[in-house]
Amino acid sequence: MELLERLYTNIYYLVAVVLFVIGFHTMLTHKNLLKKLMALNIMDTAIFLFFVAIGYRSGGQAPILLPGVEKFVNPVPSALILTGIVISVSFTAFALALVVLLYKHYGTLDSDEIIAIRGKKHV
Amino acid sequence: MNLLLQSPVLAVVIPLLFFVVIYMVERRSWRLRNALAVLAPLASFVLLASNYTRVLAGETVLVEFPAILPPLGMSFSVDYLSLLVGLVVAGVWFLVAVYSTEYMVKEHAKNRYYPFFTLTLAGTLGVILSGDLFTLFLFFELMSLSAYVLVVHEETPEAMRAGYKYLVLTIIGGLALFFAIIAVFEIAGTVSFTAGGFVAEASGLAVLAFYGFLLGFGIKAGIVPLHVWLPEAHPVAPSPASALLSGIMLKTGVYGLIRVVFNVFGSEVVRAAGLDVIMLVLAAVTIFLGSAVAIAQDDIKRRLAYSSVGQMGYILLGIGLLQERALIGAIFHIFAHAIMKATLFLTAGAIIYKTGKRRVSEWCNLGRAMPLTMVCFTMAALSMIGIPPMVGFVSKWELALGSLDAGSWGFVLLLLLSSLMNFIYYFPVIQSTLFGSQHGKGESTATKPELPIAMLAPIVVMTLVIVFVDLFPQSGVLDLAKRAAAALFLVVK
Amino acid sequence: MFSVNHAPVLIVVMLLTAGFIVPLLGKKMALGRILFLSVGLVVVVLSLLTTFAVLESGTIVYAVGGWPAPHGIELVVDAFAAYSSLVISVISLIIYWFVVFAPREVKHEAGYYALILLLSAAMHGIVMTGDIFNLFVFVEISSLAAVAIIAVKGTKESIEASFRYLMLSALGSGGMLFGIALLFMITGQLSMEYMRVALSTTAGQYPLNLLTALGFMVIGFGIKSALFPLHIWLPDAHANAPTGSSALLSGLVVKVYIIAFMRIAYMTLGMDLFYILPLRQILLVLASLSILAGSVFAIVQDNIKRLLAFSTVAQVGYIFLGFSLLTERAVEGAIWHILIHAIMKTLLFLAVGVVIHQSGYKKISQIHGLARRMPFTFACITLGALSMVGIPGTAGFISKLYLALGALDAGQAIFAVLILASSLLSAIYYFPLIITAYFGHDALPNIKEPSLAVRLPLAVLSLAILFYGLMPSMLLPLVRQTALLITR
Repeated sequence: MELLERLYTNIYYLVAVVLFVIGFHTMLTHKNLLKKLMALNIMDTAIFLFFVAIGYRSGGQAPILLPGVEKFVNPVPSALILTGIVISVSFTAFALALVVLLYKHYGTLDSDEIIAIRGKKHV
Repeated sequence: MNLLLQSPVLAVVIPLLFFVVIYMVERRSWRLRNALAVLAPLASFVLLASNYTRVLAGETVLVEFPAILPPLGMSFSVDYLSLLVGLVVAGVWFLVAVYSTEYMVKEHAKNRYYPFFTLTLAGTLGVILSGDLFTLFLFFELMSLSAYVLVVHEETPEAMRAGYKYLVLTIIGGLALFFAIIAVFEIAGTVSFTAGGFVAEASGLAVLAFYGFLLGFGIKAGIVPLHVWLPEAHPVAPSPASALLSGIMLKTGVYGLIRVVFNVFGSEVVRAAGLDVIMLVLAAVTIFLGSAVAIAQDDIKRRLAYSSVGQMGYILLGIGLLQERALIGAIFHIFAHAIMKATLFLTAGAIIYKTGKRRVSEWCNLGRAMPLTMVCFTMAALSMIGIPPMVGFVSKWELALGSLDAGSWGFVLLLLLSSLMNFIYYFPVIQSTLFGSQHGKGESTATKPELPIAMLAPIVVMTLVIVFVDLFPQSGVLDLAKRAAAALFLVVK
Repeated sequence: MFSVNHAPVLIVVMLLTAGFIVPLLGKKMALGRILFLSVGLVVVVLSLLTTFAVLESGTIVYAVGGWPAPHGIELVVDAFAAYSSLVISVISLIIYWFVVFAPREVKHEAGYYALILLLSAAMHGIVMTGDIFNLFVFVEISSLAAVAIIAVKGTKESIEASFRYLMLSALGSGGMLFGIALLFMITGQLSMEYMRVALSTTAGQYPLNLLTALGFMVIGFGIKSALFPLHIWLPDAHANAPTGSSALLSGLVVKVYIIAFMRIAYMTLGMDLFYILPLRQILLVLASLSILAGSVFAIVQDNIKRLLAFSTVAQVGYIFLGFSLLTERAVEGAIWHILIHAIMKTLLFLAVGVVIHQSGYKKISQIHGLARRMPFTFACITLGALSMVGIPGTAGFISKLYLALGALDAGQAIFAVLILASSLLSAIYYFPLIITAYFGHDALPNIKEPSLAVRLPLAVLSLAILFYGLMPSMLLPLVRQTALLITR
């Protein structure tokens, strides 16, 4: 009972961790490069979720100074995550450019095949 | 006057500078190159000799550079031992340089040989004239790496193989030394050579350090079982380089051990920890095996190489006995063996130069073709056997007396036995070349001149030293050795 | 009124600005090159000024935009930051010079310079910042730029290597961010100094958070600095990059992540906490494995650049080892090694790059006798190799000396033996390279030495190796101060 209660209060963190593990696992095991990239995005999103969840205050309002509002959500994590999302987007863009080039050079998006092709040509 | 004070530094720096200068001028003038190569050891010899009066008055010349390479710093010093050994090094190097100018005419890659010849001299002198373990180590590595180029000079597959073995063992030895040095630094906070040693007691780390020194210096000196690089490396080098490798560079190993035993640990600590026993055992094995295997060699250079292994055993014996007379023998043998082995290698080289024959079985009747050369070879060989009045006798005599001082008859017997073995492998060579065998395969008339003067003169000079040094006590070599031994045993608390 | 306090932030700002301007000068490449080199020079001057200021008056704490911590981002330029910044700026300038004057390996020159400038800005930012999220941002900038300077080469291998590097690097970033998130969770601070103060009280209450955060951070930084067994991306990435990039990556970039980790350790966690956790032992083991694995793998390499890359893996192990031993001399050795390995590895990569370009040969088995055609270049390579082995008289010996002494200080003689054993292994893979180059017969007679302008950086680095090998006393006080920061 107490365990369930603890899980419930920390539900955001829990989901974040689950998403992180899904992303991590997919990235390492799946062979398709685009899937790896998507998994990376999921991982990053998971961390962002974690961060934002840290800032949440139950019953808090958006962090805008208005008369009569006492309790705010912590604005700092949100600001941090905006930066993080930008970084994640740049990474994804660059990675996609590389994927396009890889397809042009190797003709496949399967990482195992790429390694095989490289292994043969690798004198 | 200040220059005089800096003499040990200058004696080391000059060959270093000449290395660079030779490299730069050699393409333009081979005469200048050869002249510089001969001049460098001569200059070092003279500079070192200028310290003679000061050292003989009992002073130890010391020049320190704490700013270089903190926290250890560098230092150079000249005391009895380094004066004697240093003069031997520079002197023999000079004679071999003169010899090289003629011998190497037939060889290739001379422009590589001469610079590294001089660089190795700088390294060797740096080892001898160092005032602390670290400076010794630095120049030890320089010398070893520079000598590699001389070992692989011929560039044949055998030479490259021998060079590779040499290199691997040298590096292992160097690392063992490094470990030992930092262990000592960790224990004592200093690495400077001190009379009577500065390591207070034989703690676990100190004993480990001693083994490191034994390993590192032992590999260089060719102590069994660390000698495995030697019988291949010495023969494949050009003969003048072999003379230096066997005659001089092996000595840096035992020189290092002398410094370690007497100026780092102190004879008391070594005896208390039982480390002298290990040295004695190694010495005995080395003497026996070196001489025994030499008998089986047909290639003259391999025979001489194994002979060197045995001879280094003598010096290790002299150190391990921890007696003053034994040490006198060891130190004198550094001088004696350097001259003898250099003479042997140079004569062997001369024979190979003239006749192309490396195998003792083919050396018949050479006495007629090259009479003076063979006389010199004979003198040197007799000296190695230990026939008076040659220098080889004196060192064995002192070693024997030292063994008796230590109360050990066994080593006296070992010395006699090994002299017998030396006889077994030297005498047939003398006999077949001088008195001729009935094969008559050799040349029968002496061509005039039998050898170019540049090659003959150094051989003759060294032979004269071998024969006459003991007949003239004013030459002071034995005296210097005695004072050196006394100083090393001195404990200044 | 120029106060030297502005120098640190100016370094980052100038590099960033130049990074944006250089591509605009694409048409007039001569101007672009001049700007590229001048910025490098100015940054060297600025970091020198910073170093002197820090040596004289202590740590410079600079509030960016005038907003002080804990709300604003601060640059905390202590002795370590000043030293690292100096190392980065000087080595970078040498590499900039080489990249400008060496034969082109990259098609889009302006873009390449821009990427290098961004990378440099990020590296300086990493070593100087006092805010942990700012650290993360700079780490990301540097990662992207680092991947990009490999990919610009455009070959199949380099694209694949850079993609793998990108993926693993992103993984590392994720780990790092997660660690930061966990730390933020229990402290509510982002400024490293404030975080340390907060942690000293809350760490006891949330030990699991702390442990998890550290675990993620070790993995994150471990991936980025190629600590065994997270090093698998490195050999491909460094070997298949353009020469200047390889030098930058092996010489500076991997070190910067170690520096970042060290800064987090002593600024955010505080060394007391660091001691408590079993982290130290784990790092010691991983460092040792790095050293051994890197050396062993290097021995079997025929491709010269791959050999150098594996050597980097081993050398990174040294730095981690020195740091984990945590005695004063060991840490000094690690800090020295940051500089000295940068010098050595840069020299080796640049010289080898020159050889590959002039001769077309990439493998040890192909370079027989090549040293006769390129004596100067191979003299530099020989010196670099001797230094990596640790021959006394060269700079490499100094760092090994301090590391070994430090190991003995810590009472762990086994690590001193490990350092020496790895020197032997280094000799086994470096010496055949040199010996093959000097002996044996070469095939093509018309291979020439590179131009004088290209030889200049090689000469400077070689002289540095000899200089620091014999007279390290110039930087000694700075290094000592840095070590004290960590071991106090």
